[in-house]
Amino acid sequence: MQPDSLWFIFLSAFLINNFVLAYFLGLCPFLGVSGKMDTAWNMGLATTFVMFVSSLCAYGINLLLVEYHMEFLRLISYIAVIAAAVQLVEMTVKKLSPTLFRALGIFLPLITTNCAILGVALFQTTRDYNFFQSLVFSIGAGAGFTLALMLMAGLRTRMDLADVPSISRGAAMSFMIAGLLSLTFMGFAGLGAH
Amino acid sequence: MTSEANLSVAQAPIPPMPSPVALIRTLGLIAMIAGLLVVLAYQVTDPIIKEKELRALEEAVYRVIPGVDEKTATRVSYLLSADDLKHLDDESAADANLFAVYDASGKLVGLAMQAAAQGYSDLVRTLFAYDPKCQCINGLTVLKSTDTPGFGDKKTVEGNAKFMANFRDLSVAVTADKTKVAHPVETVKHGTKTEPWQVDAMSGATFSSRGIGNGLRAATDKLVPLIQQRLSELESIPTSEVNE
Amino acid sequence: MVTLPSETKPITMDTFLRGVWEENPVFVMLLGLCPALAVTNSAVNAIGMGGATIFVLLGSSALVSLLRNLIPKQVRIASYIVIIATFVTIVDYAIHALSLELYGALGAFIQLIVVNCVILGRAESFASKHRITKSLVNALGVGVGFTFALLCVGGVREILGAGTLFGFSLFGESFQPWVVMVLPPGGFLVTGAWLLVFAWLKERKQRTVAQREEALHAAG
Repeated sequence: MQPDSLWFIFLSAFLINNFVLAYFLGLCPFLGVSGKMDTAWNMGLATTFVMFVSSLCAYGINLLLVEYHMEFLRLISYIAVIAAAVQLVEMTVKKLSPTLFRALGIFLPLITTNCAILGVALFQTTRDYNFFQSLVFSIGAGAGFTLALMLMAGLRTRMDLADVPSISRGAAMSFMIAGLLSLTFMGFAGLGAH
Repeated sequence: MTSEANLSVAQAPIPPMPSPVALIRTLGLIAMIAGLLVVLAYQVTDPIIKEKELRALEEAVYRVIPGVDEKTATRVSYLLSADDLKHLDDESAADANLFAVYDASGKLVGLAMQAAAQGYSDLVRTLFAYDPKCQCINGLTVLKSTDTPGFGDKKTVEGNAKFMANFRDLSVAVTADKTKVAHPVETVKHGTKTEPWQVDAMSGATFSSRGIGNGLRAATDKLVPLIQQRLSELESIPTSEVNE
Repeated sequence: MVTLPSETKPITMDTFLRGVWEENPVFVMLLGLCPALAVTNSAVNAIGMGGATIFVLLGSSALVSLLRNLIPKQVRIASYIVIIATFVTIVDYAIHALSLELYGALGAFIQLIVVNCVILGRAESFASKHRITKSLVNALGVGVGFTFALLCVGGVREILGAGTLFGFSLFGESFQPWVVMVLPPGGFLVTGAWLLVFAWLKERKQRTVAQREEALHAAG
């Protein structure tokens, strides 16, 4: 598989260099929303959609910035685009499914500060991905984020009922579990290599 | 929080929406301050950054090509493509894909090129030296590697004498018509090297080794035939670079 | 304009220390986790990231505090983010110009400081409500607390994973480094371990407070 083939880019973002477990991006929602399986799934879906839209816009904006030699505005414009994309998703979710909107609560606007989304935009720029590579990259990143969230949710639902020392309840245990998950994902290295 | 407190929070007066003029004035002010600060920072730091990166690259080029006397040598940057060999000045040196080092008398000492390919976790970037006379790679240095420390990171790779021996005379000879490399660089399992164009991988660090080997292959496949075609142009220093 | 009581309260050591220990952004508030794990594979990187974050905290807190009476409530988050992004861009250029090595090590995470919830949290909850000197002291406290947390994680990861601290070899040649500590799983595990320590300290403190109250109750 060629290193810059679309399939490899997707696989890399999804499994090999999973955004949460390998790059440490998107940790706040990862720890905050992974309590229940369906909230995790919905959050993952919403985040993937925002990533996709932001990636598109970031690609377009970057072309403009490079054209007019205004690269120093890159960070500010990316953030603005992400905030706008989140607003868009918020309005869509509110209209399509008010129950989902209430379930996600405060976490929806918090997607703006999800470093994973800015991470997608920044990585695709530094790695010089073309249009299709960027799209596939963002979908892979979103899918990987959702996968990590779902796995975490499943594990935490189990652990909630288990008999663990009181000092480890909450954040400490989540981190330990995440560490083991991350260790497991290291096994994906070399997937698809020739 | 009691229900009474909840109620009072819900009934707290929302400040009236300020006039559009006030909004625009504030946002405009912030945008202006922000823009001013960023542009200022950019103007101050950009020349420093370009200078530093050029120095770092030059230092790497002098280090990777064997037999360079840094005190008398001159580095020249080129942009080599199928149609053209363009000599670049320091301003646009960042676009260069080929570096040449000439000695005090203007004779070519060696060439250097960059290579990059996927290693274990991310791209591994290297700078390698090419000797057009022996048609081989005769030097390598790792520019950037984020691979596992102790296995594929810069210090470990460059400290691995057996692996680095690969790059003292790695053959990349071209075919008689100079259109392509006869035997592209190939990375083989540790201890199975039989041909001069093969790279013997590091034991326990196959991915990082492959990253380096594949990068070399991609770079040499593309540039070495072009270099051999234009060798006469490269062999003497461009007149604009000659020091008085 | 009515002067709010919090505005007239003097700057105390508490303004500074609260951010360092009681309300430590990483270990207590669980904010700013992304950089806390991503760039703490060595103590030097931890300090570099902490320093950059302190710079952005000070700059953005100062500017937000100065402009706090001018920014309408409706657009405050957007304004804060623009201000923070400005200082992040500046620190990005500054680090690039000062040290290519540190810039390469920290990489994209310098720009990701802009979504570090710690900074937005400071702007929203403190700098927008207090005068500039007080905001700066508070921001410095939180920044120091953040750097302290990063150093805890980074130091342990470097000692275990590379046998060095700040580049100085601690154990000599025969030390077999626990390499996983400087890889992503190590970041999670070490942070989890520190969180365990802090949870244990907190529980111990609560127990002594409860014991003291019981003793008072029994005596009274």
